[in-house]
Amino acid sequence: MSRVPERSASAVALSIVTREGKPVYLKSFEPKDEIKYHFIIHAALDYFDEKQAQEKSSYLGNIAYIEDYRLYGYIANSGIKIILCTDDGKPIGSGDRKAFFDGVQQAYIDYAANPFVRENTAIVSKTFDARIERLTQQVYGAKS
Amino acid sequence: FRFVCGLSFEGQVLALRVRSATMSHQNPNTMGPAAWKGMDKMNSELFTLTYGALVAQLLRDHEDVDAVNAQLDKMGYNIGVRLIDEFLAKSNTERCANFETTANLVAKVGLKMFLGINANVEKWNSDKTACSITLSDNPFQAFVELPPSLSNLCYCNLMCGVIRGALEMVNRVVKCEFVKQKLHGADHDEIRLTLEEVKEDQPPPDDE
Repeated sequence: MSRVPERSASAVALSIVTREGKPVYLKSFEPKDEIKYHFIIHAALDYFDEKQAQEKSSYLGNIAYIEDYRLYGYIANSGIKIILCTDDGKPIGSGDRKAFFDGVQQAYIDYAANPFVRENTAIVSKTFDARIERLTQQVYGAKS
Repeated sequence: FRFVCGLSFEGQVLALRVRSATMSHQNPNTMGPAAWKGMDKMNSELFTLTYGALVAQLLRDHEDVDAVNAQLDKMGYNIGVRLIDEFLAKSNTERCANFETTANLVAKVGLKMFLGINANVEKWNSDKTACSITLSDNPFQAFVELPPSLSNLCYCNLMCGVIRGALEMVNRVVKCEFVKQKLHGADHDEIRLTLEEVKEDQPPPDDE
């Protein structure tokens, strides 16, 4: 008989990767171990193709378990991929998670509408960061 | 002195406007929304993104930010000298008795009908020749964030050119510039409008 963890999962990292596989944004909600999240998310990219074949919609759901973290994927019609990494607490509802990804996608769209943004460059924007933080607060509570 | 302006939307009738010497009793607060209702509308995001592409292209063409500011003003001027005809046709304005009326018409009717902007006129100087037009929302600059290297860019300078060009066609020479910009960190945009000269009506050139 296994004990179900009562603590709710919290978001650990969020990454946005271009169609070509270049990471343009990585936000970690745990200040330590940033390099680790780079590797984990990079590993998760491999699972995208497989999952995409199964799922027709943008939201790909849980794509992998790597080192005690759960990874969720989302691929937009433009080809950009959003990867969310959470710890192994009790997962939040998939409806909420889908809404979270939609929110991240919307923030990205508003960011990309800035005429001074060049395609496929790293995302450096205070408003974008603030929006992601607010969204994560709303959906995953505590940390930022 | 008569000037012919515009076609009604049926496309057949020309409206004749006669110079009126009487004080205007029009209310810009109602004229603005009324004129706005009669205008064709376009998708605001398309407008914003097109303007953004225009500014980005100008920045690529001219290396210098001041040159881009000047170019935006010049383009706006060229638009303004033509836009005044449409403004006069669609807004049913009468001749302005003073600059205060003019400024109110620009802010409450002009900006409203062409851009949907709700603007206010304030900070008049003592002899009523200069004022500030404050805007809280501006469709040109939605989604825009200026990178630090472009902190001198007056992104919406086109608007100043339009106002300057349009007013020059009705014989008011003005200086028009942004003194506060949301993109530079202020909480609203503020355009300072200063009347420099009222020109006399010129007779039409002789056909000899």
